[in-house]
Amino acid sequence: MFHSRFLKAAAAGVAFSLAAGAALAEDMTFALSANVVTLDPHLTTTVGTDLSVISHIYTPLVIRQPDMKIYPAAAKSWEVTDGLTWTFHLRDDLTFPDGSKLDAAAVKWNIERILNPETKSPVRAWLTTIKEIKVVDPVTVQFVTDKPFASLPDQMSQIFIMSPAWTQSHNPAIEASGTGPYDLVSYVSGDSVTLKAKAGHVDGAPSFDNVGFRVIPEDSSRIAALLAGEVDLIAGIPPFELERINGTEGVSASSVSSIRMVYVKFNNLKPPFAGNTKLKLALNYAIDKEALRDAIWDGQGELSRCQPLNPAYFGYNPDLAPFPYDPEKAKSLLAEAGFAEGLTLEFEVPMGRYLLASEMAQAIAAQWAEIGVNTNIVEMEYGRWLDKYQNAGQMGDLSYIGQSWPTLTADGMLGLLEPGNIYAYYDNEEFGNLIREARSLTDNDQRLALYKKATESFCASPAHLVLFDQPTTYALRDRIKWQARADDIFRAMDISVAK
Amino acid sequence: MSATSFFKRIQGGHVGLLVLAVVALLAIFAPLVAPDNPVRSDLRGRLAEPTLSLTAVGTAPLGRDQLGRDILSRMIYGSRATLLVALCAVVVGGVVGVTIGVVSGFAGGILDRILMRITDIQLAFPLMLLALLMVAAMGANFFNLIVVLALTSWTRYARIVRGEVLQLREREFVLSAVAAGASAWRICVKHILPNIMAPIIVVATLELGRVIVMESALSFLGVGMQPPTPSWGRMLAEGRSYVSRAWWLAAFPGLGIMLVVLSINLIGDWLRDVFDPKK
Amino acid sequence: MLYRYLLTRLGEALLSLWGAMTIVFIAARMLGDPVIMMLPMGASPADIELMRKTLRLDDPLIIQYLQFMWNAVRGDFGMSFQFHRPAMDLVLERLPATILLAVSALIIGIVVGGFLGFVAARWRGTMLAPIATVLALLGQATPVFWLGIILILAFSTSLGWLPSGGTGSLSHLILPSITLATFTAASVMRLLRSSMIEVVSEDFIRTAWSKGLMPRAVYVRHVMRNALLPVVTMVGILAGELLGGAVITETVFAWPGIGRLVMQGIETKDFAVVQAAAAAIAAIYIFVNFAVDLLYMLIDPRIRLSRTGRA
Repeated sequence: MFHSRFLKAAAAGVAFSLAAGAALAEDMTFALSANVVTLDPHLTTTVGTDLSVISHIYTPLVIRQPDMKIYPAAAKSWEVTDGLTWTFHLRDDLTFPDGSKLDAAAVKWNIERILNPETKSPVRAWLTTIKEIKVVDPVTVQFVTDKPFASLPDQMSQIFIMSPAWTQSHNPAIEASGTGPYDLVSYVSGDSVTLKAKAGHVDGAPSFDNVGFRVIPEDSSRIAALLAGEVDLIAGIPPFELERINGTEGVSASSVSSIRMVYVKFNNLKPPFAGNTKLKLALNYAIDKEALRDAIWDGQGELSRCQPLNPAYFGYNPDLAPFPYDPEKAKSLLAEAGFAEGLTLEFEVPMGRYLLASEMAQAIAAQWAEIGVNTNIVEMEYGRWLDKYQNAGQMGDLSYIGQSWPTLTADGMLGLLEPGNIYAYYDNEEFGNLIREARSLTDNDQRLALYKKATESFCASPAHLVLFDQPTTYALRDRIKWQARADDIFRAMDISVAK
Repeated sequence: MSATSFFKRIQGGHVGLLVLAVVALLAIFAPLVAPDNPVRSDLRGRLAEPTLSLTAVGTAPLGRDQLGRDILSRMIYGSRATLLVALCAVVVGGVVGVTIGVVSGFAGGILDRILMRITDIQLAFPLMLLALLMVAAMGANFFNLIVVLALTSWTRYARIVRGEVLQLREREFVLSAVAAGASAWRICVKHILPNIMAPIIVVATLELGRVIVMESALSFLGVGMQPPTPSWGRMLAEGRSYVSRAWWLAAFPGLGIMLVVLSINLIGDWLRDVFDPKK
Repeated sequence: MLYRYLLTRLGEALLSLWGAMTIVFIAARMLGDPVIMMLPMGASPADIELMRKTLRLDDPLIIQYLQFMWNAVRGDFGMSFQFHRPAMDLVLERLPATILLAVSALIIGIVVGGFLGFVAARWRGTMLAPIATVLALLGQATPVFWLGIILILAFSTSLGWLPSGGTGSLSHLILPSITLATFTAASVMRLLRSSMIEVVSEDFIRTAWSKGLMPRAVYVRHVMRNALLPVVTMVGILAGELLGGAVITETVFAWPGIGRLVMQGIETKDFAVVQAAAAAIAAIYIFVNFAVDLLYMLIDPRIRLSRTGRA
């Protein structure tokens, strides 16, 4: 089913890396904004740091390329039968440095390790629908799920395969040994990671001989390092710095819309939002999103189109448009909602997590104040905010949040708003029914039709203030070119030396 | 007296007192003095450069910040929050510290040893870590900030006061009061307290400066004052990302903190010299 | 007896350490729920419960405390939730970097502060003294992180002389230790100045000196010896402040030390790391003060006598 298209792409990828490898050995250095906490692929979900480094050393079954599509990696092809059984056909030429092969038995061992509660793997939550793993033959492995799991291949793109024998005799948190194009040279916790290209890798030599990752949490220090030539690629810099960087010799900066969307959630389970659609609409019409985006994000980032999805997601509805800025309509809707005198709401903002959230929230509050909606902004430390939102079920009236779903499916992303889900705080039963129905089907066209209806239902009674796709800002030295990706993964394999 | 001898007699402490008085007046009369609303954001005017002119209409003499708010007004209003938090923290810390110090020094014995043990345990922590931990645990708001800052402060008073009280305890007038049957409370309040005011005031003054700097450090680490209330520490923390593009966001609050703390320290040093019997 | 005195002090030190660790244990638990920080958004309540059970976080608090203390005594501070490694290993890995930074800052601070303090006391009354004083006070008034960022802007971005962060060579150490040293230098300066002035104005010293009864060498030695005493005590306090102030400096300069480790631990509610780091820092601080105490006794025989009953 997936054969021809993906094999062609895989072949192209191999040819590209072979051609690049024929050039002189080059080095490159990334600057990361947070620490690489662990090298064990099963014990982390942090994409921008841990998994980025890990993806150089280990191989997953399938891989997501910069175009956000899934391509073969350790598996050549895969198919699903009767909705519950997934069969992956593996390559037979991947060998670990310790001599063992990446075969079906190894894959089974890896998944079982994740599913074992004693491993304390945070990834386990993603794979609990897998009830059985069968080793059909050394290059064929089967997963049997207890419910239809259409995005299993997408999920597998973040599961990296380790050697069973090696893992049991080493400490995978600080050592690494995999089938990927790079070997680990050194790992200094809190400071840096250094990788070296494997000699004689089956897919040929990668573009860079030595790859380094430096941990520089402070934005201005990271930019200083780039300008000084100490690092080649940085990301997560404030949008207003892009102009200055572009004006500097030898470096350039840009941004790409990420898969994360930011919005201000309404607590729709209690007054004043419960059952009050007009209030929800009023708050959406009251915000001049373009002005916000231009002022605070310096024009970077795309407006979300009346749904918690963007074009990268399966199930995105391109026919919806963003709410226009219409303060008069907002005021009249507010009056119809029963708040002609205005009202006051609590606005919770997590600190240090989302791009310029503090400034955004204050600007949004100022715009709402113009139609009579006053807010008390409470900035709280991220852990405390998360606890309130997720654990205690006590989110405030308004909450600034950015969310994404790693498998880029509507099922996952919209599922976060499914009434009954602890993350949802939403009271739209029609929406919930549509999603559940879509989840039980396997035909993609039918599912798309249902998601179209679901997003329209959302737009008619929005669960939150619809805002933007958060931009991933990045800057790089002119000596390299990067196929920028929306999902926060940084791989030397996506980078080439500029001619 | 002539001009030169007048200038010779001015000490650092006098200058400090003058500066502090000006700042305090600005803080108290903020609504009358500030040219603009400190929380009104004007996105079109964001990151406007300082004009350094007080007469030009509608412009911001010290520039505008990332949300278009007038920095001068935020500085003036911010001095309120900064000074208020620091003052409250110093008072609370002082009261607690002095009480413990007096009780410890006067009562002696087991009580003294226990209290000193507690002091040591507290001191085993770098202040910064203690503050961080407490604020993360309790949440960052005005009240909690005061409690946390006071917590990092009281030990300084306790130690010094205890030392002083230990000496005073053996003095003639205290011994005779004890012999006359006066209650411990009365002795402490009437005889001991007035005699230890001098070092307390010196410590309190220096603590004021230290607490102001610590508040800005906590804001830098993300656990200081909440928006949109301006405080100098918070302005400094917010402005740090903009340092290369709009230096005025961080420069002026930073200068403000330096100036005020410098003045406070000058006053503290001067007071210490004034109260020192050897001079 | 000297022996008994030392033993008592050791006992008190251990008691302080125990108290500090208990406080950290309580404060760490108040931080919030580490499990939701570990799991990705979208994890079901069942997943969260399972993880909590596996980590034994649903045991009663007193059991967790006793378990913690029992293990801590044997050097085991538990596994870090984030790093999935023994917490004390992480702390010991990062500690040398912070100690290097703190010691460098201490040395710079003492040298610069000592020099300024000496100048201010020796040439008291001339123009030099107020200049030195104001310089030192400025140092105390400047917020550490602001200074750090300014230094990076000046020496790294604009002039390109020094690296902007990270570690690896001597040039990486310069900016962070200067930043951290400013406050230390100011404290040392003020203390040395006031204690020098105090000693010099002691009656018998003045009398002996003005009457020519005291050789210059003895005078200088006596002044310095007594003036240094409070400075020696201060070193103990300074050590603690340096360890704490390192948190900010390490963040600004991306210095991989224990300060940043603790900050990260607090953010992710990584109890084990916070507890282990606090225990290590408290232990260092207590040890340094203990050593300072001994030093104090060595320098001033009167104190030795009064404390131990023998010279």
